[in-house]
Amino acid sequence: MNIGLLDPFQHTNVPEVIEEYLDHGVATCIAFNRRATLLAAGCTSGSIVIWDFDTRGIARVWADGHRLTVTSVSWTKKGYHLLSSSSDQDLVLWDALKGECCARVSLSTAILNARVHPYNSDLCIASPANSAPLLVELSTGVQHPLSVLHASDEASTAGGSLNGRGNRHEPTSTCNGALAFSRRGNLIYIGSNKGFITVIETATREVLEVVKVSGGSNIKGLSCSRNGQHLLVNSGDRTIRVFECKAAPTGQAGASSGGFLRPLREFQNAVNRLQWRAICFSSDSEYAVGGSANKNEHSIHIWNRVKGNLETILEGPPEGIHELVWHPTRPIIASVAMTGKIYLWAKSYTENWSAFAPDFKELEENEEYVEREDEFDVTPADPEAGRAAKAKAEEEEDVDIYTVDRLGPYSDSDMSDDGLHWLPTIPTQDPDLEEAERAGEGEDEDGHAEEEEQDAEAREEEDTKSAKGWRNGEDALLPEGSKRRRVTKKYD
Amino acid sequence: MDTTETITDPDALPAIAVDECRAEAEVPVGYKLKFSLEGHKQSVASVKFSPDGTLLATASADHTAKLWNWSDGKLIFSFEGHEKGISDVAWTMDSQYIATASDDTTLRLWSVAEKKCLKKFEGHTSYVFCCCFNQQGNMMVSGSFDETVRMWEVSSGSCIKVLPAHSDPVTAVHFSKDGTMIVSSSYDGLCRIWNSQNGTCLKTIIDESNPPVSHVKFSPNSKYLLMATLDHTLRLWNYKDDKCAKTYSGHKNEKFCCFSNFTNVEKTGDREPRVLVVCGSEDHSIYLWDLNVKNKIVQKIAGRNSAEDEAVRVTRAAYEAVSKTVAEIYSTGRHRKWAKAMRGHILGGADVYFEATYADIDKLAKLVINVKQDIQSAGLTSTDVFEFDDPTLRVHEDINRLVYDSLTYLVKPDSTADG
Repeated sequence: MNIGLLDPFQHTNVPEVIEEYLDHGVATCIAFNRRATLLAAGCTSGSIVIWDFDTRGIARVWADGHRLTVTSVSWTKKGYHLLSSSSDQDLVLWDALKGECCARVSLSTAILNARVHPYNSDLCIASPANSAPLLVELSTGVQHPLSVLHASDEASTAGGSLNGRGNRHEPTSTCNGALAFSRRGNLIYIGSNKGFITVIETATREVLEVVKVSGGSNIKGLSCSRNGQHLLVNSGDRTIRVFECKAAPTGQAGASSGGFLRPLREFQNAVNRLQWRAICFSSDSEYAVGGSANKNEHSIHIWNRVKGNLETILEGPPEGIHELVWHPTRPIIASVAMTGKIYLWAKSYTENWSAFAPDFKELEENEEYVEREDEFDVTPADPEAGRAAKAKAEEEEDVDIYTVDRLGPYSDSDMSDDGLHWLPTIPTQDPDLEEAERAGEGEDEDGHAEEEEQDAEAREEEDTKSAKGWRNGEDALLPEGSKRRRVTKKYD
Repeated sequence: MDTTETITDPDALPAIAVDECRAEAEVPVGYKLKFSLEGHKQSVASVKFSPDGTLLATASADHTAKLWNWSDGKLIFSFEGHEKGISDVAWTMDSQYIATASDDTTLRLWSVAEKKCLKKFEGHTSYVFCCCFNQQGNMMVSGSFDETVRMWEVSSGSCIKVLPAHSDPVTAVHFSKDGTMIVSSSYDGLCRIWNSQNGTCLKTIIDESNPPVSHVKFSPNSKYLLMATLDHTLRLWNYKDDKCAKTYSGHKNEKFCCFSNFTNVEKTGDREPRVLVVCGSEDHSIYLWDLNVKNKIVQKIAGRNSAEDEAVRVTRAAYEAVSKTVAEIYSTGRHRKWAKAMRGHILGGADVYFEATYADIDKLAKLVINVKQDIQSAGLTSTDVFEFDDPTLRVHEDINRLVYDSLTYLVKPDSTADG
C-alpha cells in the first residue's frame, strides 16, 4: 500500500550495497515465500531457520528434520508447506504453521535439489545424486523416474544414434540438480549433465520437448522467472542463457510439437571467464543475475535481460557464493555465502528530504528563480473565499473507506490473495521478568518444570538473537547493557 | 489563566441530531450506555476492544491495565507491573496479546491467556504515549514524549528502528492495513507517513493552520487518514492527493488526546452500510458523525455526570466491530485528568493551564505558577525545585510526582524528567 508514495525512480532498480546480513547457523540454501514475508534457510546442521523478513528476526527454527546438510528449500505458492531436501537422502514436507514434518520420503542417495509443485504440496521433483530425476508423490512415497530424453529418442539412442552423435547417452541420463517447475506447475524443466533441457508435462510425465543447449556442457542450474515467461540456464561452459518459455500448446499435449523453449540471450564474463555458481531473475524478470563460482569472491553480476548489457557487478566480502535469490517484489537480493551468512543487498537509500517538508522540492541543480508576473501583486479578491468554496466542493464527494485496491506487483502472480504469509508471533517470556515474577509469588510444584523449560527456551532465543545482524546506525539509541551484539559493518 | 473559548458551546447542539430528508432511509443510530466499568483507581487513558470483540482492555494512570469481559462487563484480570501510569493499550490481531505504553518509559507485552507479562520494551527516554501492532503481529510501533517513534520486533522485544519523527511529543501511531506504512502524529502539528520496511519518511502532512495533532489513524482501506487536531476538528485526509476529504466538528477538543475511530457496520440487505466517525470530546460526551454527510452529528452520547461539575471526562472512545456499541469509560477520580493535562501542556511548551474547578487544583496552579516565576527570577536549579516542600502536596503522592516532573521541565526544557 505504500507503493503510491514511493519514489518511482527509487524503487525500480537494482540492489547496490549490503544492507544487512542474517547469521544463524551455516546457511546453504534459501527461499522466499510468495510475498517475501518469510525467508526459509536450510543449514549444514540439518536445521531449517525461518526468518521473519519484516523484522529480520528469527520466526522459527525447525531443528529435527534432517541429520545432514539441507540442500534445498522451496515453498508452495500458498505458503502453507515447505519442502526441504538433504544430503541424508530425505525429502521432508513441512507444515509451516505447526512446524511439523507432514511427509517424509527417503531416496536412495543424497538429494542435490528438490522443488515442490507450486499448487500441489503432494508433488515434488527431486534430483538425487548420480541418478535420474524423480517425480515424487510425498504422501504415498511413490517415485516416478523422469526421463530426460524423448521416448523415441531413447529407443533410437539404444539403437545407436542421436543427432548423429552416436551412443553416448545412457538410457537414463542424469541431472545435477538442475530442475524447475514452470510457473503453474504444469511443466517440468530438467537440465541434464549432457547439455539438454527436457520439458516434461507434469500430469502425464511425458517428454514434450528436448532442447539442446549450444555447447552441450553440463547444466548446473535452472531458474524460472516469476511470471513464468523466461527460463535462465546456467551451463558448465561459463555461460548463462535466457530462454523464452512459450505457453504450452494446449490440446496437443504429448505431441512432440516442440517450441516450448526458444533461446533468447547469452551472458558471460568475457574477461575473467567466470564459472557461475548461482543464477536468478529479478522479480520483474528485467534483470538476470549470476553469482560467481570462485571460492574467494562474492561477486554478483546483474545483466539487463531486455537490452543485454551488463548492468552492474556487486562485490561483497571475500566469501564464495552458495545461492542467490531475488526478493519477489522489491530490489533486494539475498545471497548465501560459503560461510553460511545470508547477505541482503538493497539499494543504498538516500533520504528524500522533501518528504519531511512538503512545501519544498528537491532540485537536481541550482535554478535561477524567475519571479512570476503577478507574484507581488495585491489581489483585491479574498483568496480565502475561493479556496474555501473549492474545499467545500471537494468535501461534497462521498468517500469510501473500505474498498481496497488490488496491488499491482502482487496481482500478476495469482488470482487469489489467500495463503499463509506470516507465522503467528510467539513471544517467549524474558528471563529477568520471569525471575521477578517467581520472586513475587510462591512456586507451585508442577508449574516448575514447565517454567524451567520456558526459561531454557528463552535463553536459547537470546543466544540466537545474539548472532543476528543488525541495522546500521542505531547503536547510540539502544539501551545500555543489552546483551545483543549489533553489527555496524557495511560492505560497499 | 484560562484559554479563550472560541467555539460555540457544544451543549447548545441538540443531543441527537434530527434526521431530515434521509430519515427513513437510514439505519437509526442510538447508542446507549451498556456498562460502566468500575475498578480503576485513577483515570482511564485508553480503552480498546479486542479484535475478536469479546474482551475490552483499559489502561489507566493507576499503573495497571485491566481486561474486561465485554458480554457481562466483569473484570477478568488486572495486569500489574508498570511503575508509572499507562497511556495506551494495543491488541494484536489474534487477540492473544496486549501491549501497554507507560510513563515509566517502557512498553510491556502481556499474554492474555497466561495473564502475565512476557516482554519489556526498553529504549524510549521519556513517557511512552501510544503504541500499535501491525496486522501480522510481528512488529509493534510506539510513540513517545522523547519525540521519537520506535519500531519493535515483538518476538524478541528488540528495537528495530528509531525514527526521529517529530519535534514535539508523539501523540499517535498507527499501521496501515498491510503493514507497509506507519503514520505518526505529534504536538508539532505534523503527521508523517513512514515506510515500515526501511523506516524512511514517505510523506509529511501539514495543515496551514498547524494545530497540534492529537490523534491519527488510517481508514480501514488505508486510503485516508483520520486526523484529530486540538482546534476542535477532525479531518479525513486524502494523503495521496494532499486533500482534505471531509471535516467534522462540533465537539470540543483543545487539550487532550482523545481517540477517534470509524464505526464498522456490516451491510444489511441492499442498504449501504452507514459508516460513522466517532470521537471523544472534552464536554464529557462522545460525538458520532455521518462519514459522508457534511458535518452532521448523528448522535451525541452525553457523559453520565456531565451536568455536575465533577471530574468526569470521556477521554478516549474506542469503537468495536462486533457488538457495534461504543464503550465509554469514565473516571471519577478527582485529580488525575488535569494532572495529565498539565503535564501535556508543560511538555508541549504551552503555559500552565488548569481547570479551576477544584480547590486543590487552584492551590496547585498558583503554586506552580509561583514556582515558575520564582525559578525565572532567582535562577534556581532543578535540585532546588525537587527540595521544594509544601504540605498541601502531601495529600496525593501522584500530584507530587507530576508537579516534580513538570517543574523539571520548567527548569530544564531540553532535558527529560527522570522523576
